[in-house]
Amino acid sequence: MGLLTVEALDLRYGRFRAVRGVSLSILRGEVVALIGANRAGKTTFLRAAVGWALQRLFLERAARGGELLPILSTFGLAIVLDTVMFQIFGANANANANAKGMLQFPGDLAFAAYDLPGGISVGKLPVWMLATAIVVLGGLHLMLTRTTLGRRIRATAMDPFLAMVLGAVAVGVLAWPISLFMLRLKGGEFSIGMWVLASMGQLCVKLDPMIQGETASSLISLNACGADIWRDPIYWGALAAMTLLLGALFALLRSREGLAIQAIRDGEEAALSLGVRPERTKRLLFVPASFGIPNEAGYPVSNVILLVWTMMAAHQAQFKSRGIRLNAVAPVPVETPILMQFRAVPGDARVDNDIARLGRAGTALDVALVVLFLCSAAARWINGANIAADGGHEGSTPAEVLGF
Amino acid sequence: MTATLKAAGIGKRFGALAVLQGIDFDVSSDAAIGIVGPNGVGKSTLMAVLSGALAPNAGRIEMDGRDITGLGAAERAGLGVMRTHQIPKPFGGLTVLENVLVGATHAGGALGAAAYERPDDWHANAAHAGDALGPAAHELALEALETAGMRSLANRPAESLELLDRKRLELARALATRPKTLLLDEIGGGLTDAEAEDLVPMIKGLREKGVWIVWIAHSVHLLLQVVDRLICVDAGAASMRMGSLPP
Repeated sequence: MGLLTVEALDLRYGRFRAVRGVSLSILRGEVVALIGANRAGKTTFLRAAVGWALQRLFLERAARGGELLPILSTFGLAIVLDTVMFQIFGANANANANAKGMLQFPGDLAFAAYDLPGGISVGKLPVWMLATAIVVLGGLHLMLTRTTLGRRIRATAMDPFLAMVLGAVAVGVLAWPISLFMLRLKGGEFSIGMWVLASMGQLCVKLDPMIQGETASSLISLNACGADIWRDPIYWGALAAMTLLLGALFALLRSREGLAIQAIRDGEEAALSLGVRPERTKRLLFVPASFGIPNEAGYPVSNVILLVWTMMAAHQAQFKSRGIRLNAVAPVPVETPILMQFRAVPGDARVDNDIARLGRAGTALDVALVVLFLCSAAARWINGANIAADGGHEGSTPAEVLGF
Repeated sequence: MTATLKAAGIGKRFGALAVLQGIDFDVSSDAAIGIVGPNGVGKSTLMAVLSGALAPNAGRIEMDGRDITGLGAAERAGLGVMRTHQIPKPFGGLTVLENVLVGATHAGGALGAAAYERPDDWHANAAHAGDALGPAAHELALEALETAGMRSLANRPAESLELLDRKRLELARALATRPKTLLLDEIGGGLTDAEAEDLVPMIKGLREKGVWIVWIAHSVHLLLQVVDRLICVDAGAASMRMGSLPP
């Protein structure tokens, strides 16, 4: 029985076929060498095989299917594996310069190797790193999907503001351990490494059914907030955060650390020999930068900005002089795929209640007719307005709250 | 206090190529040492090993009696071992003054002797530089520019400097850190004789101020104007050996 069997494996990059119909079987205790000219596809083959093996043997079983894990394991883990290997075995003439203040591996982990039969030895560090990555990823996924605590954590998205703050803090906290190994990469390697890591994170978020990022709408529980919350707390909050951020950046760049940051940008080696500590300085920027303003705030803020812009632009000469009117249309839940999300997050009860109050959910035609009307001559005296095409939803909420 | 930089049994190899073997080196009996030798013999490698840019494969390096073999370039700079590069490495996006300010706000710099007294307590040192780019740092930077004879260029982008000024900037930047020992790697390399002569009084001045100097150069004529001891290295058996010639 073969330990690893590969049959007719094909791998393409666009129209280029890197690996074509490779079949291979490895028996227990057997050592197989892959030889061939450069660019013959040895590494690609190995990567695909490792990715496939990880996916089939471990992750699919552990998490019982789902789209997320196969994608993560094939792309992500193989690349992480590569990066980690590269990082550890890559040429580093200056092993001791960064030794202090860096992640210290316990015992002989960094140097020792596991000796396998057949004279192969595999470094302990990469094996442990990979094992940790798999356990952490798998564990996190299982925790979030299958435990009460996990579901509760995911449900904090019900309170979008708490979720935003928690998200920012969580990312900031996560950035610190990530910086320990990512900041060892230099220049282009760092960019590529971060890009891969960011893509993996994005995949996790996008494929999460609670968030459904692929429909291009962000934290949808925000949609359940009233317009008054969008206009005041969110708008001013975002503006204040932005101002604070700019001020902090300015102060940072004017400080000693700012000077060090620019020196590192222009020449890390020279900066080092002047006593600047790149690892520390970079971390100083890397960790706070990850806090940021969550993207989730973008939707309501841009929504309000667009409404304000509509009102202001309606009076601008460039539109007025050409007889162009500007109006906005504000629908609430319409019978489109987004309604599914409303059912998922604000909850069935809320959506059903809304539908009961309005008589039915809106349709695309309901909104299109309003747009047609606004474009027609009949609406010639409507300008800079935000028309609620919502079956009376906006009006009904204050009426209910005020007890009319 | 006199600085002592000692190296014993230094070995450095790149794969199978042993560049340095069993180098013993002591900068405590003379205030300025010159090193001459043919290209490729390992002079710059020795500089890199002394300054912490490269880790030696064997041997031990001491500064003021403290083992610094395991320290990197930044930590050694914090102990007063400063190096200039053979090919100048200015921070191109900064002005000349800002370049020097990087030095003035790190290592010894504006923190002065206090920083050297507690080299391990980086945070305490950073706190003392709390006023960051304060007047002390500016003064120090301007003084270093003055010494290097380039005060009039203070606001020029470092990118636009010519070779001689780039060499001067290397020196000014290193000076602003208030080094104890200055390792000059071919600071006169690539310059015309007249240009290189310009640097001599400057380096002499440093020596008189009590900075210990190790100067690598090709021109014995330049070195003899400054150094107390001249060390010749030869490339026998692909390894660097040192012999001291009385000047």
